[in-house]
Amino acid sequence: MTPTMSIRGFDPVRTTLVASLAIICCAACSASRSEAGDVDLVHRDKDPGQWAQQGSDYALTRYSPLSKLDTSNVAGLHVSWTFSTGQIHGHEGTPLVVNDVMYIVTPFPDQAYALDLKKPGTVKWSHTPATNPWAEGVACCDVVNRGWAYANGKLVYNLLDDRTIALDAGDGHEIWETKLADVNRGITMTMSPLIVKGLVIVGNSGGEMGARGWIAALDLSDGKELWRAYTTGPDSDVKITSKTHNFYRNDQGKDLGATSWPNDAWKHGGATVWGWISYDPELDLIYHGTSNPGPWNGDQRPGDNKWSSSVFARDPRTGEVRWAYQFTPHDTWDYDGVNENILIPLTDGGRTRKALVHFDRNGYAYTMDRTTGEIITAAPFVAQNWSTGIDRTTGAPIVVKEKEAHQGTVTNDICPSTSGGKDEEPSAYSPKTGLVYVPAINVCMNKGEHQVQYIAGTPYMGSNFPAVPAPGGFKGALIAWDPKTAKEVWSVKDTNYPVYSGVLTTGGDLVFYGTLDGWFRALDARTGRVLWQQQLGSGIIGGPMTYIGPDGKQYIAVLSGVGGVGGVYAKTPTAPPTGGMLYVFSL
Amino acid sequence: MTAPFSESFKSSEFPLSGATEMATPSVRMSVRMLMTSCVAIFVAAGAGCKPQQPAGASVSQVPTTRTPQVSYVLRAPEGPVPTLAVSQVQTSVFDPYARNQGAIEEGRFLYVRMNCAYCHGFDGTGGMGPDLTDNQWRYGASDVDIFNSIYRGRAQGMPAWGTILPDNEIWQLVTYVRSLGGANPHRYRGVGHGSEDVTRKSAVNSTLH
Repeated sequence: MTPTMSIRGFDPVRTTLVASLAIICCAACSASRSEAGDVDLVHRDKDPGQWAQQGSDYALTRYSPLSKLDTSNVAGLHVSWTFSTGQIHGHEGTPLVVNDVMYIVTPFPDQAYALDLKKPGTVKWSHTPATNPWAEGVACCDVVNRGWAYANGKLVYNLLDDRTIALDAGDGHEIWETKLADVNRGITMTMSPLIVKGLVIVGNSGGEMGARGWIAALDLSDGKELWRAYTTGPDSDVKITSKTHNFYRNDQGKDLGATSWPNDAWKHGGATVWGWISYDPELDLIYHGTSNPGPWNGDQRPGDNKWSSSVFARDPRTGEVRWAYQFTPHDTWDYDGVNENILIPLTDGGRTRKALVHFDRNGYAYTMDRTTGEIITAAPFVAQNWSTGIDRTTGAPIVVKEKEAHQGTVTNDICPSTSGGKDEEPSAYSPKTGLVYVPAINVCMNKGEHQVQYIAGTPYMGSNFPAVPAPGGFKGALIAWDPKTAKEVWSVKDTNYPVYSGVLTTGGDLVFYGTLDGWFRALDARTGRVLWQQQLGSGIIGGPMTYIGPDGKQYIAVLSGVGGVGGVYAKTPTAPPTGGMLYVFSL
Repeated sequence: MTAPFSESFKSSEFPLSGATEMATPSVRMSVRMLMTSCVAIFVAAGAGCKPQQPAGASVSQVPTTRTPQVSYVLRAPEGPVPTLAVSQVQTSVFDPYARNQGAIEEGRFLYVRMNCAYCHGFDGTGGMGPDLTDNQWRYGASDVDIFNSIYRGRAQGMPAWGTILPDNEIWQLVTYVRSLGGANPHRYRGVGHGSEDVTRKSAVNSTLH
């Protein structure tokens, strides 16, 4: 239910008034006032020593301008301190650092820890929510938490059992919680919330369980739901309005979110919002993707199945769609479109375009005009054989029919696999090199489909999909990609494992990432040369970050703790076992 | 989103080409009637069967393009549950179908049909749900323990099927789970119905016709 389209708090005059009242109020009742303070989320460069957002900034660049560590001295990096999370499931998020406090959240039960950087590694406070254990059994891809957000002295994140909570960043006490969905219906929440203008934007998981995707905005001050937009169904539910202008013919028409499905199949059609959200303060638009359609068996849902495997540009205040584009119509391969949309400037024939780059599960790297949704370049970045290109008139990919999966047969050697050419683990973009550093997966699959019935709370898939080797003789790679020419510049290949960690790049021309067998590496951002590496206690699927400590030194931090989908690939006799540990490095 | 068990799946495929679509609000009763009918035939004939529409049952045949809708929501057990939720039908706490080849095949059919396979793996080695072929069984591995796990559900996401499936079908699932050889008990392996491999192969074949 979306009770209101309120834009409460957006009137500048009223905002000031409310803020003033809040200050007066809080001065009078200091017990409830956070001492953690605020941070400027729009102007990241004002305080480069902090790391206040999962993606470093609203553009999700995962770039830090810090340069005390660089290609000349990174070989001297060593462990400064560590912290055990006590959890054995996959650790996918990135630590935040605000005002000399580091914030981390574990996988289920989604415990939060605030670590005091003035006494490195000591716990300032911790919070263990009473997360419903039922959620463990309905989370498709391990019981992960993909990220947490900070604003206005609050730490905000999702619990696996469909609640969003806000903690006082100063002492960890719970300020509000909002229940968004019913976990008994197979819906969970794993994504990293984005905080924009006093709104907490969240979305659901459950594309394997017959969930219907949605994205919602909560009031940062009290958790009240202000709007919710669905990703399937009629335009009114999706918030497609007269202001929506989809660039391509294939995405134009009325109520496509309902009419591109048989009967009312869209009600269990997936298209969940479990990936990253970026934000452009100038255009005032958020960008988010949607998951695979449900069920996986495409013969049960003929049609394009909009708006699964798509990208949306929305007004954060109302949820209204400015434009949408479907990467993979009628997806029969689990090619979710949820991967991060990194917002970059692109110089094109003397003018600079506002672009976004997106490395899709379907194996294509898209550079798009983020104002209009027009594709500037689209080219495969890993082996793919399900399509022969993108039709620039209709916008639709040209599908190789022989590689579509069908009921009653097994289709062999489809590339990429259900893991995609890249999964949700986020890339990084360096404005210094102009390159995007992409954690890639090079695996193919055989896929067979069969009829499945929807039973709430159980998987709604109808598919079997064993992995098979891909061309090239390697399973993963860290790829440096030029979004302008749509070409790989260099790559570091991994013979044995896909790359499932996030990436960090810095002003010191360094690229940091980890492997499923636990190697944490620093590369030269211009050449890909490995400058430093260390074996950690478990495989790495989290995102590295960097900050300046109270002592003025530059630190690098990453969570080790294999799991998630990557954990399946890491079940080898020689990969280290599971177990969460935060590692912090310095010179 | 990718489910985590892609690599644990074997290449064998289990299409349910003969399965009846269920699309009515009264599907819960329909499932019972269908399955009961099936079981009755199974018991009488001593062989596996596919669900057939019993006379008077309110089941709709729908085109394969339609999404089957099921009206119930499986829920986590809430509050205290009986310590022994064994049926009124069964007087024994032992699996009445133990090692019966036909029951294994029926159990296999239900295992795929009721979506157990997507959580526990088509080969039983786990995924979203626990591995049923190992010997680390949190809730016990006796016949009645397994019955109870299916009947009343378990707190970490195992749905309670006791309100949906009749007891004899739950026992068939117990028989099938037993045939996977987990948690135990060499005494169940290869006893009465040949080797485990033969058992699995037969179970697979039962879903192919």
